[in-house]
Amino acid sequence: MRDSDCSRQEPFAGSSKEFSNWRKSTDELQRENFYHPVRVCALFGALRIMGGITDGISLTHAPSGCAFFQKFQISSCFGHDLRTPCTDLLDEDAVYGGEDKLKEALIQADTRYNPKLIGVLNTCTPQIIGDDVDAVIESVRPHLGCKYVFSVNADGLQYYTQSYGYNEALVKLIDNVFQHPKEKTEKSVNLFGEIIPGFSALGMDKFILRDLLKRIGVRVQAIVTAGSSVAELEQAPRAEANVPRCGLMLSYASRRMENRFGVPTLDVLMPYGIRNTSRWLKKIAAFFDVTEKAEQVITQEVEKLSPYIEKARRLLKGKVVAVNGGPGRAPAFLQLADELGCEVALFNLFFGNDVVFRQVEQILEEIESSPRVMVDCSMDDVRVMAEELNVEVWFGDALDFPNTYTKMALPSFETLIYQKSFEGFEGCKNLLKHIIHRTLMPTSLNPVTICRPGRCNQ
Amino acid sequence: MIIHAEEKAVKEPLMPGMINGAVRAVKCINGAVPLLHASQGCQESLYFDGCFSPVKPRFCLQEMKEEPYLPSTIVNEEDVIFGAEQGLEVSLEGLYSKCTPELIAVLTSDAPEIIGDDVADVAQTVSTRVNCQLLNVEAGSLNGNYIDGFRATIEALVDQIMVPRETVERSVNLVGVAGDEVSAHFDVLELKRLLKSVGIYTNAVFLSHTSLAEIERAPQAALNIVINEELGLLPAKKMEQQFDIPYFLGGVPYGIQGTAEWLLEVASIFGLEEGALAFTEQTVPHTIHLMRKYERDINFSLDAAVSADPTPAVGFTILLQELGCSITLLTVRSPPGQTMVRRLHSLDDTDRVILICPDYYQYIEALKDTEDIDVVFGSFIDSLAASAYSIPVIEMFYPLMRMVEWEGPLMGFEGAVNMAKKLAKYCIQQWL
Repeated sequence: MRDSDCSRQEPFAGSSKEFSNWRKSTDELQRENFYHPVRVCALFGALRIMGGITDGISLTHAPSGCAFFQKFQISSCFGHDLRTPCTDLLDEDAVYGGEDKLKEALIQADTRYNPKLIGVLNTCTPQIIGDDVDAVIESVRPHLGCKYVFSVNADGLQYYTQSYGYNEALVKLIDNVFQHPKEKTEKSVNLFGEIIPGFSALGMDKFILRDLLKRIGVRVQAIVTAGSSVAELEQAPRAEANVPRCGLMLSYASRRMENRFGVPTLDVLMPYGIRNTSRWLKKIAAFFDVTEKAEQVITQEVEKLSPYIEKARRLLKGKVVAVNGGPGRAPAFLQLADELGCEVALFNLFFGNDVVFRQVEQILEEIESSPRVMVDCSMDDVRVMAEELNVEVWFGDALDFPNTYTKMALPSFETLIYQKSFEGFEGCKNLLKHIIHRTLMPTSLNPVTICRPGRCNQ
Repeated sequence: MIIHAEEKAVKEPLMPGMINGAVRAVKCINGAVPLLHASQGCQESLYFDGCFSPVKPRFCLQEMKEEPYLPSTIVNEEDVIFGAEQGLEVSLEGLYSKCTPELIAVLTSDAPEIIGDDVADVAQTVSTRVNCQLLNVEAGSLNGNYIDGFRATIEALVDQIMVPRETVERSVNLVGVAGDEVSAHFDVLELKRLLKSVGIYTNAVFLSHTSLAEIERAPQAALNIVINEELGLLPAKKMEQQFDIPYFLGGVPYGIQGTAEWLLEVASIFGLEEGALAFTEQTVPHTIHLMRKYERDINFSLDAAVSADPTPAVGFTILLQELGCSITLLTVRSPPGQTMVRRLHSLDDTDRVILICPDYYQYIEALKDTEDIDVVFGSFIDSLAASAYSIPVIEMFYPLMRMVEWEGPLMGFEGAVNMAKKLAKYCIQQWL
């Protein structure tokens, strides 16, 4: 099952041209003697997929520390109270095995949460000690009230990125939950790989995209998974195509969806900004042969947004910016920075897979700037490089490195932590206003803040 | 009513794992750098936690003050088969040459512990090639929670760094200070002030901005004062065995009465009770006067919940009660020691639920069942839990997920006045 996007690449720093050569030559992990982190593990990814199912739970088969870390990280980033029941493996379980504990925990979890689905997330420790998680599930299945129980491989020893966790969880859903449809829903798509909270505005973006698609006559069959029920997920194969959250979802999970249910996955960037959103919409429209409708919607929306984009361009034109982020947002921000007339001096990608690297390569060929590209580098190196290149504005994810951003005292914007939608045309207005605001305000008066638990009122 | 949460096979953890506690402890040692012998997922989570630590700057390398620096050996599947010792050896040398710290603490996670890496042997080998102290802490989360991790780090310092020294009269070590709690630095200053006022010198603190020199001279203390039973008792017992230093585990220096009793008990060990009595007789009325100044116009009769580790939970409850608050729900997140169990029983009341070691699910159920809580004094996790019931939370205990602006101690006489001031401010903000 191992996929190219799940193995670690050698960190890269070089010019846009060198990036292209590097991408073609990237092979297996080249291990440094020690490493400063920028990434999470497969468990994080699996939890963000499984945690989005409203009437399901994920049972982490691990020491409680692992489950707590994930809750801490996901909940604190996104204000989403992720529930992380676990089997709380202890020393003696490492010696005698954790299978009995898992069996009991499954029965208790079934009673306590009364879920329709339980995903057992299999982590490093049970993998090393050799727990047969699938056998435990089979033995206990007759005693459970929930409809679906399956394991998800989520160990961080083999798989270094959340990408594997996303794909593994999606594959398990495809194999275990998705049902062969009697008929297809005409002109329908799944928003595929929507992870909790799906993103900014604690999940509002997906509704904005759903409404946008409705305007061109395309219906969202299912959101896989953030905020969906098991019953909604069962019907996902009725869709005619998948629209992926980001390039990470264009991996073996999307191939499995196509092979099993004949649902292809479109290659699109996240719809941040006018250019990205227009292309996103056009690509979907082209698939359903409704390009004309899409053109009309785009014309209307661009007209509405033009005062904001003009203002943002006036402020940012010629500004030296660094684009920084994960494989979903960073390529989209790269396009956005170019759209706003910025000079992109530095592009830092936390990590990526083949699809993401190809997307980046295409964007680099298209945009006016030739930024320095960094992949999988430590934030210290990124900061040093940004200082060398006299970066004036940060585009991207400040949340992961709040102290770097604060210390550098440069204007920055962050799409993860603000309780507003930023995607699609509707989100674009918020995004542009946010960028204008952050660029104008002195950084000292405008520190990076974390969103607090609770729903937004948008 | 004391409720011991029912043990369940399925748990929603309310507190971090052991390696997290070990990282917290290393954060509190000046000039120390941790090297996680762990997989990448462990590393990222701990790193993220470190971003919001009040002692972050001391944890970073000089040239890397922007982010917490948490290097890791990134144990992978090959290491599980062939062992990760070689990788650790190379990492230790590489890390030393990069930042030349005074101490490198190798914190071993579950995977290398299960596969049986001999970290002590690797450290021994590398110690001849690097000019810094090496510390080896077994901190896999299979072994316990973050309290255990913090304590194991202090114990490792006792075993691996300290050597016997001649005793210095009237000198004490403060053992079991969680130096990255928001008030820890101020608490230590207050305790030092109180001890000094009766003629007792503080030799070393475990652990709050602790230097390597302080750790090395710890065995010269005449007495170890256990500040937090869960963190400090076992290391104090270890120091008693190895260096013949007696320890004192008495009351908790929270609130006026608690502080006065604590100081008198400590002073009496050195035959200094007269001075202590004179000091408290002089200080207590003044402290009460200051507290009443804030309390005079503001009614502190809040119905509050406290959620913390045993010692701070008990101590803080005592303090809040002195200030006129009513604690209706007291949640103790980790197993209390014997002394704390006794203290919890002394706090037992028909109007109060004392919940011991719940998981997140049980805690949420308890919050739901407890009516009319005005405010929760807790951590980020309490914010998550209480948000469902729209109960405000004052985040002041670990773990935090934002930089909390905090001035002043919670312990000692100063702590009582400081908390009165903070409560007054909070009440005014609520009214506005």
